[in-house]
Amino acid sequence: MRIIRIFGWTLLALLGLDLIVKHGIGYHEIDRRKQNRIQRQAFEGRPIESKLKHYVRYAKTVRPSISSGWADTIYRRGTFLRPEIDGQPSVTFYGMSFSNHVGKQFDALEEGFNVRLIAGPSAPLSHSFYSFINEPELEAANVPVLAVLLEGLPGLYAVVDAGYKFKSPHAYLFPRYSVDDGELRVIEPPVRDFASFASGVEGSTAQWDLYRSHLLNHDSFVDPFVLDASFLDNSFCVRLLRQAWVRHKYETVLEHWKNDVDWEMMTIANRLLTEFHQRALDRGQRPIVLIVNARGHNAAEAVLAEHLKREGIPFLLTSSICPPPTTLRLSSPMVTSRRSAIG
Amino acid sequence: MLFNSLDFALFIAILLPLYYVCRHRQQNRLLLVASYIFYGSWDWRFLSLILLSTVIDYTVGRAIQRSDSAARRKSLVAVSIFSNLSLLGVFKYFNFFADSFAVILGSIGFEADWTTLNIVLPVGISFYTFQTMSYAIDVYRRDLDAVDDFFDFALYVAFFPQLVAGPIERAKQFMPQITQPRSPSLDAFSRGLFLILFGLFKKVAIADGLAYTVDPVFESPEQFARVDLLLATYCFAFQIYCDFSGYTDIARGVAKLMGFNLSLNFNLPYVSQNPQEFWRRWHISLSTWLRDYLYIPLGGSRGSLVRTNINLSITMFLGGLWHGAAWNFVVWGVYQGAILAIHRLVVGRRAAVSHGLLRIVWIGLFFQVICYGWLLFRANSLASIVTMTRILLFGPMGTELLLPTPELSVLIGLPLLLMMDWLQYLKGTSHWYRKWPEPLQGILFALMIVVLLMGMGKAPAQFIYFQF
Repeated sequence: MRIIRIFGWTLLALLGLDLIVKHGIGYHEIDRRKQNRIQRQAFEGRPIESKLKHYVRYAKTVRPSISSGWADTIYRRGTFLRPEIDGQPSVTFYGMSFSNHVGKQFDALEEGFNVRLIAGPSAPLSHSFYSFINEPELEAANVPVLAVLLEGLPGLYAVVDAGYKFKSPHAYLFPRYSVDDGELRVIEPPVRDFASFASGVEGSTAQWDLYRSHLLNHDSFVDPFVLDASFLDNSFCVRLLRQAWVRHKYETVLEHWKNDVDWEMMTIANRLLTEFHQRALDRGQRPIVLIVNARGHNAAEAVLAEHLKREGIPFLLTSSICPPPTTLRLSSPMVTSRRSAIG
Repeated sequence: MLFNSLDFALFIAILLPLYYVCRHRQQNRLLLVASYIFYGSWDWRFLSLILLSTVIDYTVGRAIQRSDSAARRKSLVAVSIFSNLSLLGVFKYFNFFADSFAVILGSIGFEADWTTLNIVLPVGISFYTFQTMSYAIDVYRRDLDAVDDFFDFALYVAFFPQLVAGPIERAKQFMPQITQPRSPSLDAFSRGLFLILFGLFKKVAIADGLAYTVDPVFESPEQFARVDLLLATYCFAFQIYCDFSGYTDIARGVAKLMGFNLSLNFNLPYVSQNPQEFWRRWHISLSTWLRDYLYIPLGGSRGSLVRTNINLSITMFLGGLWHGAAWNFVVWGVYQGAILAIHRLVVGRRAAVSHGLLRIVWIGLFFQVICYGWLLFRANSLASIVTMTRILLFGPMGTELLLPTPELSVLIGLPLLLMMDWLQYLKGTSHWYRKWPEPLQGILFALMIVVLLMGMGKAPAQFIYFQF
């Protein structure tokens, strides 16, 4: 039958295209900057396992940040911007590169403070909050600044950014918080430093299994197709299909949207901010929340700002200083700039 | 439930086997239920509107059929028109007119102190109200017998492939397909599959990919130079074409799988040499609707040249407003009316140039005219139109391109689409590929699938025409 024959030819042609891409164009260019667009798309479609192992193997040249953000080493990496001066009040920024920039600017403008930066690459609120509550009390600053990167809010449903930032993931784990019957619950990361993770990648099956099962059990954006490497990854089409699946999965996870806001996510975020404020006050600190709205997630910003106002928590919106050029929904964070329809 | 979603694929995968094992009458009932599920998946409350429109037009149609009194028939058809336009007026235009009126009052010193209603635009309302209105008018004109079976009529109104963005089907063509048993052939099935693949390719790979390039420019046009604006406008021309014609292709393809033939809505619109030809190729079901139910009743081209041009302008003005409750759509409609009138004044009824190089030149020139129309259509506001026009005419040329580089799916998909459209143009048929050797067809489909997969990794955008 004609239709079946054409179907067969189509499958053969797909196989041929796969071979052309694999052998004619090639997948394995190490440096992302040297990849052409097809190679980049092919690389981005690899499973999390392959990408993370690749990053560990070529950490020095490809992904120095692969070793950043880990729970047990973050305080060692949290640096004072200048030698600490005794007697000066201290400010610690808990966040990500955005909050580091703010911290550096603050330090440049205000010389009378000891400024310290504790950050994970593109870290979500759960990571920043966890860094704050686990910081040894001796090092606690007079003013803790907790940064909330709005585009990282989906991280509240994750334990690693590799699922919701599939194209360019990091490996460090962060806790997953939830609010059950008014109680704040937490699932803590079982792998807490880069060395343990790297040993898993380099052959320690037990370490890798621990990491893997934690992702599969507790990260809403990760499943075996997204995570595990297999023979099928040789296919360009499978890699493209995986990217489409990740996108679909992302939208399925964030299904509580109403008026551009995922209310379950916001409930957790609001609770973390309240906890941060309360615990800081209990420690005798003066807490400030910094809302980083870089891409125009205005609806989410409005919800957080309203909560902070209601609770009397001091906060600063980056959008009040530098408004984002576009308006985006969090439901499409992989988008750099778009509108879904006209008008 | 978007056509380009996994939910829709599952919906079809469940529906089709059930459909094939049912007999004709059961098929119709199944399709009606499926259509309501499909429509209700956006918002179940909208179902009440479509049901209301269905009941009114079914009842009106039956009453017109039974009546011999001209006055009664006229008043009945008026009921249909009034009720459908009222639905549109309330759900689509109320806030627009209320806001505009408040602005006008404000400009002459009166403060209008009312709040506009928080009305959500029901998906596809413009399409199904036009469809049901045309039914009542056709019955009134005695072009069509009223439908006996309520459920068959309900299926005509709610048939899910074309419910939310057309084509606007006429009952005369579509009702027989509902009432007569259908026998979907393997050949029709394979054509349907191709149309679905082609539609997804256009929508997902090209239209959605182009949105990344187009949107930032139209969002803040003042930040871009002349070349950026020009390229973004060209890109939008292809975005809206691929978005809307892609939707129609999927709709036609899905209908074909079930043995229905929906009307052709797009026929290579960008090879038009003039506005008349363009409207014979672009959104054909809307332009013929406007022609038959608005332009001709207004007098069409039967009167003087001035009268004809007035009729044209009114038709296109309302056609523009049909697209959306915003002033830029009105401006776009007026622009379309103006270029149609100018064309009629300058060229008259002479046939389009049909030979070689000159034809290509005309196509190229008229494409610029179409694109300026798309700029009006896509602009965020009237102020934005002024800004963009100023930059296009007097703005800096720009030393480097600032607009975002198109997605890979666009860079590969758009040339492929242009090649396919060009072949369709040369061969004069949309089935040109069927004469190719089977291996070559396989390569073509594989290429389309790969480019489609490339586009699927991006967040999908709603079909642009859903909001109309």
